Amino acid sequence: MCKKIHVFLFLSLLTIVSCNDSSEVFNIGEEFTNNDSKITYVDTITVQASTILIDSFTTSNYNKVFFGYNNDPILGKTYAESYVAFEHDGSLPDIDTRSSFDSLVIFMKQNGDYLGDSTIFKEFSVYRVTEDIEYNDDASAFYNIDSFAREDVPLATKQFIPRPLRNDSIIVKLPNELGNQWYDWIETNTDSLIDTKDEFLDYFKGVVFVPNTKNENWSTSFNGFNSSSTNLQIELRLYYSKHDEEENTYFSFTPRENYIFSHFSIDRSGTVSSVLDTEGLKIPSTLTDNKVFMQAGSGVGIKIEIPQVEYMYDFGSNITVLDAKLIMRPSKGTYSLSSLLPSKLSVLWTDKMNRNLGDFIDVDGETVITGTKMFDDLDDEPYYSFSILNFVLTKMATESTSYNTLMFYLPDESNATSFDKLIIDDQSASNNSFELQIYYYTY
Amino acid sequence: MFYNLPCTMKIHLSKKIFPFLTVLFLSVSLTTNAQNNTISPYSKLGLGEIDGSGFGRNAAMGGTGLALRSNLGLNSINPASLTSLDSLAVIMETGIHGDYTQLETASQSGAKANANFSYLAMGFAASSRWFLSIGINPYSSVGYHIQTTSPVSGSTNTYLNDIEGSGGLSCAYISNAFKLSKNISVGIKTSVLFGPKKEVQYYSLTGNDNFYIYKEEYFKFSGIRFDFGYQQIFPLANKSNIVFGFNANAPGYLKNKYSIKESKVFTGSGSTTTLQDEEDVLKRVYFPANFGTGLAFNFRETFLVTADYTFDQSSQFSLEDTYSDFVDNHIFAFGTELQPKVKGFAKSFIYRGGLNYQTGYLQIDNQTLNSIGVTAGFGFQIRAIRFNLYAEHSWMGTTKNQLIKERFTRLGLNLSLMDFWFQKRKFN
Repeated sequence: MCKKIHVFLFLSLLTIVSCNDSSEVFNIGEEFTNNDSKITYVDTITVQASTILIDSFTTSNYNKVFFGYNNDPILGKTYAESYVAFEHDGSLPDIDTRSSFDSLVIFMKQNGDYLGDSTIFKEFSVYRVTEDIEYNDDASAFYNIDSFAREDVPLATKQFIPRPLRNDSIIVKLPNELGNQWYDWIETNTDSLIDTKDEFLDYFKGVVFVPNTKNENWSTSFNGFNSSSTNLQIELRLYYSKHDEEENTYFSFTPRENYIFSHFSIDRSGTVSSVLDTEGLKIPSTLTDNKVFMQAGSGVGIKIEIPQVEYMYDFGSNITVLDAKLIMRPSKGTYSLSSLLPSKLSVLWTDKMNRNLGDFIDVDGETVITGTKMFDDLDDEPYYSFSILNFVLTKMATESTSYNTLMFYLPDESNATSFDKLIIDDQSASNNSFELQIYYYTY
Repeated sequence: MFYNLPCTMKIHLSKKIFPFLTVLFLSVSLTTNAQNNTISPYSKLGLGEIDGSGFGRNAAMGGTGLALRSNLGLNSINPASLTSLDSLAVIMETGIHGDYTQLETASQSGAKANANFSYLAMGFAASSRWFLSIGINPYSSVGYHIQTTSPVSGSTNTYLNDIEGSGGLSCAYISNAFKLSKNISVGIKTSVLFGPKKEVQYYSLTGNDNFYIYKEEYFKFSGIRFDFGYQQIFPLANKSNIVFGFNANAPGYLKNKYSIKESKVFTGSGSTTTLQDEEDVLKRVYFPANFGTGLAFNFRETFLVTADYTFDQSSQFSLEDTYSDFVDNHIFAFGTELQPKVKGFAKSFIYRGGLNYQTGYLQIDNQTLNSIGVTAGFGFQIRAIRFNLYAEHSWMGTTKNQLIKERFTRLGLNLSLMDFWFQKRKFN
């Protein structure tokens, strides 16, 4: 009997040791699990856009000579002049008395950054600056609004056909009197006004390139300073001929690092954007023909406000946002081949006073959000897309106690060295110019 | 061999009941651990997949049992049947089964095999008119891993929902049966149902990996269910009879301790934002009354046919689950048994077969998921142990409407140990 019981118990124990295998995942219809979608998409949220104007910004950190003229029916006329200070490396060459002076020129090699009709002559003048080119008090850079006194009469005026792709060089011949003077000083090796770096800078403070052609839009830029001299594309050359050589030789004065900058002046009179000159910190799109702008050279950017984001709970008390994208579509007809759209846009946190509170960072705490120009698969129309999830989450978390918001801006270098611009209709003028795409989860 | 134990009945009982109880508790503790005894996505719904096929003989005969009586084994379908036991015998039963589940959707198929404990039970007579049975068995199984890709409301984008579930309820019962007269018996089965159901879900937007949602739900069920059984024998000539059986359960509630943890997880760092965190929220699950009635015709102790009809008011079952509708289930079961009159070892052989058709208790997307099953089996006896083997094959569901068709095969073995603990020694 006991044996029997044991056999039975053993068998019983065996039975309660169960096993299984496989962990197949089944893809099945949504009908099986859910009637209501747990994740919802909305793109009908109101985005209020306004234009803001930033007082000034630095234009000297890029060592780029940029000048030209741009006339936009909405944004006005923009003139960009470019200041350049030249220097020599501290020692002047020994020139044989049997050599002779040839010419003093500004040598400029086109770097390909050119906008405008490249079959028509463009004209610019080079003026000698009469005022020390120095930073303003408390500044450590030059700004878009900085300007310095110049001679009334240009040193030279040049017409050129832009051939950006052929790497043609442009030679601007400066007056012979000036060149001869420098040549004499160097050749005779006497104490002169240009012996040392500082003396030269004090004597020849620099030049300013001023666009003369104002019947069409154009701009050009030259690399002014680069640590690699092979890429140097603008310099002052004193040409002379040695008695025993057929070829002329030259001595270079190179651009002074960080003393190259553009000065922008903008005439908005008669355009819808003229209110930018008179209005306050925030110009709602309703004051500018239901449009908002970004414009290089003048620090014009776009500020958005999304009041509904602070009340996302309107969509239900139990929601959490999973993704948020802001799409901006340029206003049709405001851009063309000769007036290209910026390839990239920056996003900054800004406060009520339009102060820059730093780059807008993604939810990972690292990635700086930018907007890259893209083209719609369907109609090939350009648009910019920004991941603004972190903005939405921050706004939802702070429950509208903060005025801080996002400002969309041209990247600093574009702002300082281009005529980039972007004009966007507000939502009242176009139903998809600003589109906030939000995915949220309902729990 | 039963008769040479030199001890009294009382000692007998305590000595033997001890190891039995040990195994019982062991199996209780094992069955309460959540195990995936199924891979059917349908087990997501309600309390899981209910195992209603009954003990060994029931399972071999299409799940019938309302009107079945036997002194060779326990019948889990109707407590009143306990009175058919030999008043001097103790029956201990256990069973194992191996399942092979094949699932098929319109685009996918898969299969899984698993083996598990069926039940452990014992039955005996407390007096000549009062019979008792106690036991434990898995009541339902939960185990699935499914994924759905659903459209994001308001967009052409989609999101992925990954759902994994596990758990299952166990049943521990005690049945009391009374012989009211020679031919009329009644029984009451008191079952304690208990066990967990766990579901873990992930939600993630397609093509966007910033955040995903992690949701973990835990249901802890417990409650008591009462079943009332009735059987009446109508004797016929030539050792033949007809049995009428009836069973109904009282409606009631299961306690449901519900916990939920839901959070938004940042994929990059794994940092989480808690959306919901509730523990042991007391809820209830209502289970309705079910009624079953059956007839069995026994011919000269060699041939038996039986038919059961059960009305399962599943439409009144309430467990918060918005995903499906429960509908009333009508179960039709047929069983037959043959015991050829032969001599020798083959004398103990009994052959069984059955059919089971259910209109279905699940309705998904207006589709009621019916099922049909066939069973076959046989039993024999070696010394005091009866072996019952059976096979079951059933089909359920459809591949239409992105649903799942389930093909289920079960092989089972049950052991019944008969012992005459209460028999007085004849020789001493």
